[in-house]
Amino acid sequence: MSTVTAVPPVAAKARSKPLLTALAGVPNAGKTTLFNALTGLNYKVANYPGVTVEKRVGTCHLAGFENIRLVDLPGAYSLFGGSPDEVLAADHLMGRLPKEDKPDVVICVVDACNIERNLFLASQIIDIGIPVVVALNMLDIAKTRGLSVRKELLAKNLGVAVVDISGRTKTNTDELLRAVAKAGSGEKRPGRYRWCSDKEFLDSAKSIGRLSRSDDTDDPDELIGIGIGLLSGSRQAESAKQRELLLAMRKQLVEQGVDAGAYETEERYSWVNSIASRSVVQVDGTRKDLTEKLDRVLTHPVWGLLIFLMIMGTMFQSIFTWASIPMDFIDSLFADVQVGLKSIIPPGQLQSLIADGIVVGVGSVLIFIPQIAVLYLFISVLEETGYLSRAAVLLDAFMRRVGLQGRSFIPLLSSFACAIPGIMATRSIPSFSDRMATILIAPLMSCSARLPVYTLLIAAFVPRRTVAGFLSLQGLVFLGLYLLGIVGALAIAYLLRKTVFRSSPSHFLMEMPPYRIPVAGQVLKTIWEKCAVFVKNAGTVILACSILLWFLASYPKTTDGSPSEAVRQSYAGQLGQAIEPIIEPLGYDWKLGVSIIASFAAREVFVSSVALVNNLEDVDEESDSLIDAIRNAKDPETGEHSYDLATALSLMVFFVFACQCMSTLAVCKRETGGWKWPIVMFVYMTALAYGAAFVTFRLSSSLLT
Amino acid sequence: MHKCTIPNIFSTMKSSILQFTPGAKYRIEALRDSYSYLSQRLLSLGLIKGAVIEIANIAPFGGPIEVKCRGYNLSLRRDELAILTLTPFVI
Repeated sequence: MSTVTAVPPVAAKARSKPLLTALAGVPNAGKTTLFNALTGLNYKVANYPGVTVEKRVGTCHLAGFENIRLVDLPGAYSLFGGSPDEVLAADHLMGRLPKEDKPDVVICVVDACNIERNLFLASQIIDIGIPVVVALNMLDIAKTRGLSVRKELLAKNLGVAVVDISGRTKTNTDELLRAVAKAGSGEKRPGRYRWCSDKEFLDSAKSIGRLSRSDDTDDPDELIGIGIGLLSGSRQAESAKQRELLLAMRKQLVEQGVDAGAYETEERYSWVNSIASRSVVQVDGTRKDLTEKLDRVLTHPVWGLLIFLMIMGTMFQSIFTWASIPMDFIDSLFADVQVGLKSIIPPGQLQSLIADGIVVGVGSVLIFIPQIAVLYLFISVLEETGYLSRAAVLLDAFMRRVGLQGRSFIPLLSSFACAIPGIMATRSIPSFSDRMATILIAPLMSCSARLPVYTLLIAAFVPRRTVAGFLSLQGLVFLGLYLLGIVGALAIAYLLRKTVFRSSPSHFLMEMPPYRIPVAGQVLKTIWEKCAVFVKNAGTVILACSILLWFLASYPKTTDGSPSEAVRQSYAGQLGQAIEPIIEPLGYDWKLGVSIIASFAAREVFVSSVALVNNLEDVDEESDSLIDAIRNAKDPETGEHSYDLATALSLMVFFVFACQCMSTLAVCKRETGGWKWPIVMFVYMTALAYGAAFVTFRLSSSLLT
Repeated sequence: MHKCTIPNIFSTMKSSILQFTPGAKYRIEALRDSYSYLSQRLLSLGLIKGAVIEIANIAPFGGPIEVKCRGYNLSLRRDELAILTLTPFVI
C-alpha cells in the first residue's frame, strides 16, 4: 500500500509495511462493533484453519490510517481460559499460530461498565509485552449508571495509552488510531507483571516455562506466561522434570496457604480491583436498574414462559407469512426467466442445461433467502436486546433433561427455516457434546423445504374434514408432522447423552448482558452476513446437485415417446427402478423413488420432480392438476391406484426424518471438521426415516382398509 | 419467591443447606478443584475467594441461578454454583 501525501504526521512516519493491529477483549465488550467502525465494509470473515472460530480481517478505512491492518480476535475472558476461542486468541497474540503473524499492536477493548473483568484481561495482554492501547468503550452507558471514569489515572496505573471511544457512535476513532500508530512506532516494551510483587514467583514461573519445548521462545514475558498456564492447570507439563518442578512450586504455594490454581487470578484481580476502585467512581448510585425489573417478568415461571411462547409464535408466523411474498416473487421471476431463456436460446441440450438445470438450481437457492433474512432479523434483534440469553436460561432446565442445554434452543429454532443457519448457529455452544448433539438433531426440525412436500401430499390425500367439531384434519396432520420431528429430535438427543456423550461434561455458565436497544446497522449487517454465508455454503452444493439431477433426468436421450417415458429411461428413472425393491415396503413405486432421489438437492425439488414424472409442466404444490394427477395415478399393470393415504403418510413421515439435503451434510462436515459426524447424521437419519415410514405404512394400511 | 437448595455432598461448609432468595448476598470462601476447567472459568470471571456475590434471579423449574458479581450478571446451573463454598455475607 502506498503512502498518500495528505496523511497526518504520525501516520506518515509509520512503516510502509502494514501495521498489524489485533482487537482483543472479553465477549460483549464491543470489539466487533469497533472493528466495523474502523474497517467499514473493508473486511472479510474467515475461519481459523481447522476450527470453526471466526476471525475478521480488514483494512482501516479512515483517511490517513490505511496502513493499519486489523484483525478481530475471538472474545476471551482470560488468556489461560482453555476454551477454543480463548486458546486461539492467546496463541494469535503470542504469535504461536503457524500462518498468522504476531500483531504489532493490540487494541484492548474495555467495557467501562464492567471495568474489573475487562481490565483483568487487559492486564494479561499487557504482560505479553506487545504495545497495547486500551480503548475504553461504552462510557455513555457507564455515565447513565452514575459511573465516572478517570482516564488519566487508569493510563498511569496500567502504563499504556487509554483512549475513550464509542464503537456504536464511532466517536474518537481518529484519536484511537493515532495512539495505535504511535504505539506501533515505539520500541517493544518489556512486559510488566505489575500485579505481582513476588519476584521469586515470577522467576520460578519463568524457569518452569523454559522447560516447555513446544514453544520456541526466549522472551522472558512469554516464559512467565507459560509457567502461569502450567500452574493454573490450563497447560500440561511436557516432561518429568517440568512436572517435578511444577509440583514443587504448587506445594510451596500451598504451604503458604495459597490455592496454587487460583493464585494468578486472585493476585491479578486484587491488583485490578485496587486500580478500578480508584479510577472508576460511583458518583450517583440512585438509579434503579431497568434490567432487573425486566428480568423479574421475563424469567418468571408463568409470564416469562408466556412471553417467550408469544415471541416465538410471532417469529414463526412471520417467517412463513412475510417471507412468502418475496418467495412467490422469486418463484415467478425464475419461471419467467426460464420461459424467456427458452424463447431466446434455440432448443437443444444447451437450452435445456441453462433453463432446466442452472436457472432452476439458482432459483432453488435464492428461494430460501427471504426466510433466512426474516429469521435473522428476529434472531439478531433478540440477541442485540439481550433477550436471547434470558430465553436460554428459561429453557435450560427443560433442554438439560434431554441432554441439551439452553443455548441449543436458537440453533434448533433456526432449523425450522433451514438446518444450515441452524448448524452454523451452534458455534455459540462452548461445550463439545452439547454442540454435537444439537448439530445432529438440527435437521430433524421440519425445515421450510419440507413444506411444499407436506402441502402437496396433505392436499391430495388427507380428507377435508373437521375433527371434534372445529379442528381441521388437514391442519392436525400438518401440526403432527412438526411435532413428530421435534419429539424424534428430543429422543435422539436423549439417547446421545445416554450413550455417545455419556461422560462428556456439559457447562452452561452464561453471562447475562443488560437489556439494550438494538442498532439497526448491526442488525442489517448480521442479516447480510448470514444470507451471504448461506449462498456461499449451501448455494454451491444445491446448484451443483441441481445440475447433476438435470443431467440424470435428461440422459440418455430418447428419440420418441412421452416425457414421462423419457424420464423412465433416463439415468434417474433407472436409479428409481433400481431402488424400487428397497422402497416398495414403504409403499412407494419407482416414480416416487426418482422424486426422492431428486429431493437430495433440496427437498422441495420433490414437487417439481413428481410433476415431471407424471407428465405435467408448470405446476406447483397447490395446483389442482398436480393434486389430481397423483391422486389418480394408476399402476399400468394392475390398474389400481398407485398411491393412497397410507402412501402419503408414510412418505411424509419419511420426509420428517430423512436427511435428504446434501448441503446440510456439507455444512456439518465443515462445522465438525471431518466426515465422521456427517456420516453418523446420514446413517441414523436414513435408518430412522426408513423404519418410521415402514411402520407408518404398515399401520395405516391395515387400519385404513 | 422461589427458594431452592443446592445439593452438595462434597462441601464441608454450609452452602448445601443455603436457601437462596433473590437479593441475598454471599461471600466466596473457596473454590473446589481449582485446576479444573469450570473452576478456571469461574476464576477468570472474577468469582474468586473473598468476592461477594448477590443472588439476582432464580430461573423456574430448577433452572440456572443468576448471580451478580463485580457489576455484571452471570447465570450458572446449580451444580456449577455448587463448586463455590459460600457463607452468608452481612455488612
